[in-house]
Amino acid sequence: MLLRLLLYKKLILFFLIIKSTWGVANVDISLYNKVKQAYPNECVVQLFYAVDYDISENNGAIEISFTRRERIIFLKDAQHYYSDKKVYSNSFVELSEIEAYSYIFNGSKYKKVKVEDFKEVIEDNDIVFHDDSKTLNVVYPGIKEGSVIELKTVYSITDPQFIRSVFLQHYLPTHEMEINIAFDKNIEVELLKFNENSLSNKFIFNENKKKKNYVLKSNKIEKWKYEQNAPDFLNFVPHVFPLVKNYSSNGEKVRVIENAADLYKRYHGFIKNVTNEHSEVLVNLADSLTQGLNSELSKVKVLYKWVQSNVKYIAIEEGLGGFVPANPNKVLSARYGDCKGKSTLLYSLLKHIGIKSHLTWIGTRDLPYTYSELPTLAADNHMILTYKHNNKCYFLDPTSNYLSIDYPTSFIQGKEAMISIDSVNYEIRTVPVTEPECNFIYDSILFESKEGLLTGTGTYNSTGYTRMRLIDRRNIQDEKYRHELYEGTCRKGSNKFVLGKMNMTNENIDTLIISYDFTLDNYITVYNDELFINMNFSRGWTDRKIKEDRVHAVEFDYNASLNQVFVYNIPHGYEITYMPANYLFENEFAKVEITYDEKNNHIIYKQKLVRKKLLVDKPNFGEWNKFIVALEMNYKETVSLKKK
Amino acid sequence: MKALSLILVFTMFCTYIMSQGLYHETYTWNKEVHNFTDTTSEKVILFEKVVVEYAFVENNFIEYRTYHKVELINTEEQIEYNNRKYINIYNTSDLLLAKARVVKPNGDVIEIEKESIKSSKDEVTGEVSHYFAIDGLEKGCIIDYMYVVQKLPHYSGITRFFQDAYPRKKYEFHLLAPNHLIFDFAVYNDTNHVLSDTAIHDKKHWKLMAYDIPELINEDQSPYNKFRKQVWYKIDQNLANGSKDMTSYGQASQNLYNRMFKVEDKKDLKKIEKFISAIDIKKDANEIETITAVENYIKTNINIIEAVGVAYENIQTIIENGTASPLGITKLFIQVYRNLGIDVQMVVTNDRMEYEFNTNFESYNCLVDYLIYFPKTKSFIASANFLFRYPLIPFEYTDNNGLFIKETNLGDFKTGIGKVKKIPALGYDKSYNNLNIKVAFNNDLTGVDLDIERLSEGYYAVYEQGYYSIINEENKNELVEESLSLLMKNYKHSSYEVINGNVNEVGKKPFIISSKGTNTELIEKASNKYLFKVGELIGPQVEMYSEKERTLPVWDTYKRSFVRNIEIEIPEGYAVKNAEDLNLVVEYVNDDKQVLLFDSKYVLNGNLLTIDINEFYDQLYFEVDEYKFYRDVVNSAADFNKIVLLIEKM
Repeated sequence: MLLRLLLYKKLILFFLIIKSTWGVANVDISLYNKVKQAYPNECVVQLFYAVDYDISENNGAIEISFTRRERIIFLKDAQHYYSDKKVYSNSFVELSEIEAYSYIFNGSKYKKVKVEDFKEVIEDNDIVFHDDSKTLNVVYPGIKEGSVIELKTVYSITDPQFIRSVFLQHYLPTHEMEINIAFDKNIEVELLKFNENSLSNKFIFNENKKKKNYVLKSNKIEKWKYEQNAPDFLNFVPHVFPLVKNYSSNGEKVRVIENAADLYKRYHGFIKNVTNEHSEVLVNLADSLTQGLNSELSKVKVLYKWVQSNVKYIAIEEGLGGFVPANPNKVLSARYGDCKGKSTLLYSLLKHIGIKSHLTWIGTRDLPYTYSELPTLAADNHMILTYKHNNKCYFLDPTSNYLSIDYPTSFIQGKEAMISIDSVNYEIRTVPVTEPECNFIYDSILFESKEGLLTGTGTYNSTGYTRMRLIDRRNIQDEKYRHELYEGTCRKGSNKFVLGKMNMTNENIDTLIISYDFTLDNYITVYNDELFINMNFSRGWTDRKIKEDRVHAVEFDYNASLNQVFVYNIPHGYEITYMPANYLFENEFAKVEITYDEKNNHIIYKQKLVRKKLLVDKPNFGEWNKFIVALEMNYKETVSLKKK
Repeated sequence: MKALSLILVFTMFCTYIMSQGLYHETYTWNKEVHNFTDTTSEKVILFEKVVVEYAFVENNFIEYRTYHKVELINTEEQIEYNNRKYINIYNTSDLLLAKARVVKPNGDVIEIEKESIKSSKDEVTGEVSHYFAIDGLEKGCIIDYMYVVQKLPHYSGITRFFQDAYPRKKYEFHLLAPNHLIFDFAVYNDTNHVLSDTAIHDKKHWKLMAYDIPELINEDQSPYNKFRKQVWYKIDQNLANGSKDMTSYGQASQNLYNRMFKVEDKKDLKKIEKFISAIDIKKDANEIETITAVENYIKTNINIIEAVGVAYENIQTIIENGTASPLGITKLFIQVYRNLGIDVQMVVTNDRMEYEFNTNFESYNCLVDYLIYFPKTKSFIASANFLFRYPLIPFEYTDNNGLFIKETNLGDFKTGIGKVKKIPALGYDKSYNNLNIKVAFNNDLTGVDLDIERLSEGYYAVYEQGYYSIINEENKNELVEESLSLLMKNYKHSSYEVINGNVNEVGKKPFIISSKGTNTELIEKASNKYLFKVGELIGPQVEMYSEKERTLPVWDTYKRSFVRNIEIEIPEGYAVKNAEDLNLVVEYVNDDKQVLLFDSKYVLNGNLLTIDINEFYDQLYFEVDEYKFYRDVVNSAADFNKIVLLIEKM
């Protein structure tokens, strides 16, 4: 009797679960018609999206189950590009259950088909050479216009640090959404909100006999718009992160992570075993490279540069290897390592010669978090080395190539760095944003014209990130593309520009110099005794005009400045009949200054451009475009000459 | 060609017992390390050896591949390229051995630990990737690595290249097989031959040795693989059962006929009939209308998925699940068309960008991609491609040969016979991007109002036209904006209309975007004179450079044409000074036929300036000495693009 009752209860529970799990409208033609009417301009709609977190305490340990349920309807033939779906997992976020269905539509009725085809696939990854992540490919059979696909995935997460954020907006419009974050009463969970909007505030907190919950139900949620040159979607898509702060077990409070100090404690655990036993090779290398150098800074520079160029970036991240640096002796003998390995090698080389440096965690610019906002492993993704000298912090990123010690890598500018001091102490500092003048291009040419053909010589100087980018590209290109790269770099006027002889010098010093000669055909207009020449040979920045209907901010990799001096040797017998006026425009985002001069039978054109902000957000699109319009207007101005 | 090798069951009797061991069992790298310096090349391949051995082991027919390569790495860039090695095999194969060592410039040797070899698998493609990072690499190092793979035998045509962008000092290719299996070989672009080595008596041994092979650098649009040194091999005879000509297009034709044309199962037939009844074919439809109706129906209702199992080659499974593999959907097409009484042939070919279809040395690695041919209309469809519709097929398969398989009667017996024939390139007038533009200056001559009509067909239309019907409104808008901004960077449209934006119209009707808008960047000012950048109306044009001597021929993608008609209203009271700049003719006449042309002409009638441009490319292959003619025509379009009209007050 008892057994039957239990069974009966189980059955009810089962039905309840079924009902609550797929508690959305039946898939039938009326749903199809309704959705088609509600989303006349869409071809794929997410009918339903649900996330359930269940965070519980069991025998003093936290157990987390994460369930995601998605249902998508195709309103056009778009299935040809969506008929398979990828499911990702790794050793910290393990996939414990997967279930998928196709609802095949024949124009009037649906047939539900269970998907049996889950196969592991290899995903190309340019950044990480090897890790323990897995990708499953789910192939939905028979879908076409009207068809619906459904996917349920359950993950078990053993460590609250590996909880994933819950996104409240998706790349598809979402018809219905349910988020439920449930946790045992003896666990304290704070719901951290990022890019808050009206939806984020709809979370309701409730409590029943067993659990506490944060619940959100909503419908008709707009998709987020992908735009080029926008910050990463994490910077604008509203999302929440359930932070497990502490829990009580057997009457004792166990602290998980409540603030940045707790995170540091954990981080220090990853680096505390970095060896102090340096191999003979490491010792000899540090000694020999710094022999004869007096100043500490010069020693740091030499060792930094050596690691940058002689130890290649190859990331192998398995399990904790994604967090614990490899043995520096091993990194040195292998000549490769990831960011942690390379940083730790440099740390050890410096340590051997008695120079103190600090292993440092940092998030790249696509992560919008500060350590106080999100004190978890999700706040960062990178390791560098901090070196302090004369009250100045140098942020050394050994994964960079050809970058001088004065520059942080461009992708960590403005980000918080968590700098290790000792086993307890750490320091949070913000990496500075590099000034425009530090990333400059100075390009000057002296040229003349003969029967419509321009010939000239030039010098191109570049420093900072612009220099680094050029050297980097030069290195990954094949020989035959290198000439095109230099030609593109020095190009003036049009694709009729032909780079002749060129010579690159100083590439290992801070300012790279290219001296070159060139010809440019079909650029000037000659008619009878008149000659027209537009001195605005390079107009690349006008490409960055922002469309009025753009939604997201425009992001630049770095601030920059460009100085050009173009000197035209006026052909014999000609005189200037029109020379455009000088021009200056400046606002908080950018500056342009163009001047024209005549001296010793030469026209001297100078242009100075400065870009001052990494981000132009929507309210400032107008300000930015004022700058672009100023460029466009001035670029139309042409010099005219006439035979005397 | 996985499909073909599966059906070719090897009928060989294992009565031969190996008396001598297998080659790979005793082969290893030399104890003494290589010592070589070269400072001129970025990388030198000091040695490369490929040994393919077929053998019967415990009654199983097995292939072993031993691969050994020694390379000198001379630059930082080459370190980045070479410090990771990948061995990609299939799940039907086993990696028996993989080892690597690095010889430092000072002679020190670092051996890669076995544990550092990682692997990952792809259950869809069946690919298993083994990979490892090379330890201790620095400039001047030598990487010496080798591996042995045991696999299901693959013998019906394989190509091995032994020339690439780096010089090779020594290359060896060996093929070993039981005495009763005779292989055939072909070597291209090299004077060395594959020779039989009779030193071993209990098995056949063929080898190719080559020394001091120079590098061959790829060039834009060149059929690079065609000119690389290469060896092809395939099984030819089985002396044990008297089989001859074992790898032949005739054999392949019969196999594919049996597999694709025959309906064995009555249930299949019923399914097909029911399937056909749902297709909307007009009663009086002609053949083209029927072909088209079937193609559109199948491609709308059956998803093509590249990497699915053989189940998706079964007619019933395909129809029930609405999903098919490329071979499966081709079979469905053949069955449906035959059922409707349409004469079809199956065409098997390959991507000519990889290698040309081999007509001399019949080899199954040329039988990779499927098309269907309709003899009556002499047209094709690309059965396994959603976007391409009758009669348009991807250009990679055109201007190449293919194996055409058709049904034939031998008395009462029906079978398939194959014939190698050319798959012609699409005519230049069928693949175009034409423009009709009307230009009017605004009042203060700061900009122009434009009325643009862009018509495209063939390879210029297929992607836009195909995608247009299956994307949302927002993406449609982006697609049009993108197309217009590719034409003219600063064009701002006030309205647009798209005509024939439907995948079912691909290959049949032109894709048309017509738009009205303005452009303020086409006029430059010098005091009271105006410079109108008329050339920019035709959009940016490729400029091909000449300073480097061309060494390889060009094999262009597809024939094409551009017809442009531009009408410009010159503002009242103004005159164009240099209109004669607009007259520009460059042509290439080959064998009395005009094959390339850029021809621009103008007519000035009152204040209406009309420019007619006719540009076409009716030849795909250009020998090195013809390259300059090709370049000149391409560059003349770039010249036109730079033309500026001087407009002055009268």
